[in-house]
Amino acid sequence: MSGMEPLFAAKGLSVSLRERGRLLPVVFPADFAVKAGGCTGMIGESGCGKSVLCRAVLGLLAGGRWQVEGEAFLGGERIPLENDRGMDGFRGRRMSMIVQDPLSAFDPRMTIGAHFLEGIGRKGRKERYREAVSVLSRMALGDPEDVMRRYAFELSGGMLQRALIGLSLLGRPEFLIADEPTTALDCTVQEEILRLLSELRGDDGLSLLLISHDLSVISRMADTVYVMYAGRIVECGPMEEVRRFPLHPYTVGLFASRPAFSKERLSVMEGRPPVLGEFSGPGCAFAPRCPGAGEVCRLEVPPFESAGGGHLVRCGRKEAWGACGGGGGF
Amino acid sequence: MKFRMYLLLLSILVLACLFAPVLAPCDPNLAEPTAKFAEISREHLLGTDYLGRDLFSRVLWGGRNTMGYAALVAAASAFLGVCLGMLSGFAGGLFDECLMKGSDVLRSFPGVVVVLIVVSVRGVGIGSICVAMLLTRWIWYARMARNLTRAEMGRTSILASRICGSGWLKILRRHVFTAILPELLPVFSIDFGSTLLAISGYSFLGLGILPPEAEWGMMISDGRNYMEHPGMMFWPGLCVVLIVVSVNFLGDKLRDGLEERRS
Amino acid sequence: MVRYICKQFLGLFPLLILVSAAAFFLIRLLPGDPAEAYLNSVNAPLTQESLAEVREELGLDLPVPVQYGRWLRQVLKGDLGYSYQTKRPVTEELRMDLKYTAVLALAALGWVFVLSALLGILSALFAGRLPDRLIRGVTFLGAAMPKFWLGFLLVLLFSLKWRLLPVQGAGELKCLILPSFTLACSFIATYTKLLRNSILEIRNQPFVSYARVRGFSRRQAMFRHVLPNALLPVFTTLGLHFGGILSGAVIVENVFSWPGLGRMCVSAVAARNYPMIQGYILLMAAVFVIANLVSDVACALLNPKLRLGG
Repeated sequence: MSGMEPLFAAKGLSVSLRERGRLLPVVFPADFAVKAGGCTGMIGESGCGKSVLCRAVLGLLAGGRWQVEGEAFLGGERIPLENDRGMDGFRGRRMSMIVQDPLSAFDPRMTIGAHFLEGIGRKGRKERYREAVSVLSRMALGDPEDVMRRYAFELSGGMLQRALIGLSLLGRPEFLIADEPTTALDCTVQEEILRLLSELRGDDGLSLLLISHDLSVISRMADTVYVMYAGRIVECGPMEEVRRFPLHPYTVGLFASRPAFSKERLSVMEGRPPVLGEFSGPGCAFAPRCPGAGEVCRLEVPPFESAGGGHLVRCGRKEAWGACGGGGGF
Repeated sequence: MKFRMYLLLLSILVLACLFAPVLAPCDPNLAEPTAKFAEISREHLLGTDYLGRDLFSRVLWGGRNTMGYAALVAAASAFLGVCLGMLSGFAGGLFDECLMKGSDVLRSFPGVVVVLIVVSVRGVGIGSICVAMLLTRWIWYARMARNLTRAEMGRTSILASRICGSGWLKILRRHVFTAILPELLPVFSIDFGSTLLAISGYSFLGLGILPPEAEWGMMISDGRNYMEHPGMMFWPGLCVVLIVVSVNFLGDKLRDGLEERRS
Repeated sequence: MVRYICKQFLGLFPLLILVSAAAFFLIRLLPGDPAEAYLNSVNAPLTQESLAEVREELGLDLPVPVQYGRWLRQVLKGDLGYSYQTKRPVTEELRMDLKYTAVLALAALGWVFVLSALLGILSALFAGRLPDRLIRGVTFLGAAMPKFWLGFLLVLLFSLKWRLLPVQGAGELKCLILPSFTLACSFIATYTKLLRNSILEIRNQPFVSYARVRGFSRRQAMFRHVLPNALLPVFTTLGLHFGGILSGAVIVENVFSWPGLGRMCVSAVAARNYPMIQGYILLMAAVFVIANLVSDVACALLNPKLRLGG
C-alpha cells in the first residue's frame, strides 16, 4: 500500500477454536491494514470468519475455547490481544465496534440514556448527559432526549443503529469496526446509516473497518478491500483496482452474482463454502467450487502473488485469473 | 458411571424395602421392653428404639410405607395430570384456557393448606394425605403434558395420521403419548422424590400414617424425644436423603440426556 | 402497569372464592349440629330453646348461599369466631402466631438471599472448576434434605454436642438461627442453582460482550450488566416458592417448637379445633394472594417490557 504508516495493522493474525483437544483453524494468519481516516472493507460469505476476526481484534476472544495468534497494531502501538486487562485501555477508548443486531447490544433492563450515562472514565453525571445529547444529535436522531428515555425494544432498527453508533463513539475512538452494520436494516435506512458513517469518517477522521457480505456496501464505502474465503484472505487491493479487475475466481463470482453490474441473467455461484473444520485437505479451499481449478490447486495453498498496484491474489492458476463460470461480470 | 452408581443405590434400597417381609429379622412392631435403646449388634443391626423394637426391621418396613405411598401418589397424579393435560392440549379452547389459568395460580399454592382442609374433613390418616397431595400435584403434570402435546400436535406425522382417519383417542395414545413419554420420565423421577419428602413430612407431623405402623417420617418424629439416642432418627432420615438424592440425580441426568439428543 | 396488576389480581380472585368456600363448608360438613358446636364453643347450656335461638341467630335456617354471604361479611370484618381450646377470638390467636411465623419466614428469606447470592456467584465464576463442583455437590444434597431431619441434625450438632445454640425457644435472636436456616436450606439450593445458571446464560448475551467493547472491564460488566439481569429470575420465581416456604414453616415450627402458625394449626387439627383451622386456611390464602401480588408488582417494576407493555 502507500508509504504512509497505516493506523491499524494486523500481522499474521489467526484464530483457532479448541474443540475436544483439537485446534480447528477458523481464520488463517492474515495481514490487513486500515489507513488513517480510511475505510477498509472486508467481504466474504457468512461463516468465512469475518466476525470472529473482528472479535479477535477487540480482544474479546481471550481465554476460553479460542486461541488467537499474531499481532495487531493501532497507531504504531501493539494491541495486547492476549491480555484482557490491557485491552480495557483500548476498547471503547481507542477502538470500538458496531454490530449487526443493535437490539441485542443494549441491556434490556436499561434505557438508552442509561447506557450513555454509565459511560467510561471519571466524569460528572451532568457532563455525561450533555455529551450524550450532543453525540446523539449528531446521529440525526430527531429528539435525542426522548431517545434517551426509551428502552431498546421501543426503537426501530435504524434508530437503534444510530444510537449504537453514538454509544460506540462516546469514548472518542479513532478506529471503528463495523460488523455488518446495515444487514438487518431496510434499504433506505441502510443508505442513511452508510451516509452517517461516511460523514463521521470525513469530519472526525474516524477510520473504519467495514465488514459485510454485501458487495455494494463495500464498494461504495471502502478504499481498500479484502476478500475472505473459508478463513483466508484470497484477494486484496485498492477497491477500484479490485472492482475493475477482480482476479481470484471467487471475487469474480462475487461480482458476477451482484445485480447492479450484470444486465444479463444473474449468475449464481455453485455450491457453498466449507463449514468449520470440513475442509481439511491441502490446497485451495475454493478449488471444489472453482470453474478453473486444476491439479495444482489441490496440492497446496497458493501464496499471494502481486498483480501490481498493491493488488494481491492468492490463486495458483494465473491462466484462470479473472475467470468464472458465470463469465466476467463487467 | 455415577448414573449407574445412583441407579444401583436406588435399586438396592427399593428392593430391600420391597422384600422387607423376607429380609427383616424381626417383627417391626414387636416391642421388647428388656431391650430398649439396644446398641448396634448382630441381633439388632441398627439397634432398637424406645420400645425395644428392632430399628433395622422398622426401617425396611417403614420404607415400604413411605416409598409405596409416594409411588402411588406420584403415579396417580402423573396419570391424572397427563390425561387431562393431553386432552387439554388436544382440544384447546375454553377448557385449555381455564386449566392453564388455574394451574398458574395453583402451582404455588401452599400444599399444606389443602392437606389441612382434607384432613379436617376426612380425619387424620394416610388416605387423606394421599387425596390432598393428588389434588395439588397433578397440575404440574397437566401443564407439562399440555405444552408437550401442543408442540407435538404441530407435527406432520400427526396430520398424516389424522388424514388416515385415526380417531383422537388413537392419535393421543399412539402418537402423542409415545412422543412425550421420555420427556415425562425425568419429571416423574424428581417428583417422586419431592412427593416422598412431603409424605414423610406429613407423617412426621402426625397427620399421615398412624402408629404403630412404621414410616420414616414418623420414626424421626419418635426419635425427637430421645435425642440422646440419635440412631432412632438417623437411619430413617439417611434413607430418605439417599432416595431423594438418587432420584434427583437420575432425573437430572435423564433430562440432560434428552437435551443432548435434541441438540 | 396498573392494568397488568389488575389482571394478575383478577386471576387470583377465583382462588380466594374457592378457598373461602372450602373454609366455609369445612364447618358445615362436620358431623353434628353447627348450632350445638357453637353453644359448646361459648360454653352456653344446651337446651331446645337455646338451640333454636342460635339457629336463627346464625342464620342456619337460611339458604346456603345467603349463609355464605353472611359468613363472608363477618370474616371480612375480622370476626372468625372463638378458638375451642382457649375460648379466645381466633383473630387474636392468629395475630400472635403470625408474628412468629413472619419472623421465621423473613429470617429464612434473609439466609436464602445472602447464601444463594454468594454461592451462586462463586459457582458461576468458577464454573466447571473445583469450587463450582463443591458448591453444586453441597446444594444438591441440601435440596434432598428433609427439613425435619436436617433440623434434628443441626440441633444434635450445634445444641447438644457443641452447646452453641439453644435447642428451642423463641425469645432470643439466637433461637432464630437454627429454625430459619433449616427452613432456608432447600431454597438456598434451588436459588443457588438458578442464579448460577442464570449468570452463565446472561454472561454470553451480546449486550454483555458489547459492554466490554464499550470499554468496561470484566468486573464492571459483571456488576453492571450480568448480575442485575441474572437476579431477575430470582425475584420473579420468589412468588412461586412462597407457598413452599409457608408449607415448610409448618414442619420447621414443629421441629423447633416455634410458636408460629404451623405449630398452632397442627395442634388445632389434633384437637379438632375447627375455627382455628378455618382461620389458618383463610389467613394462608390471604397471605398467599398478597405475596403473589407483591411478587408480580416487583416483576413488573424490574422488567421494563412488562411495565410498558401493559
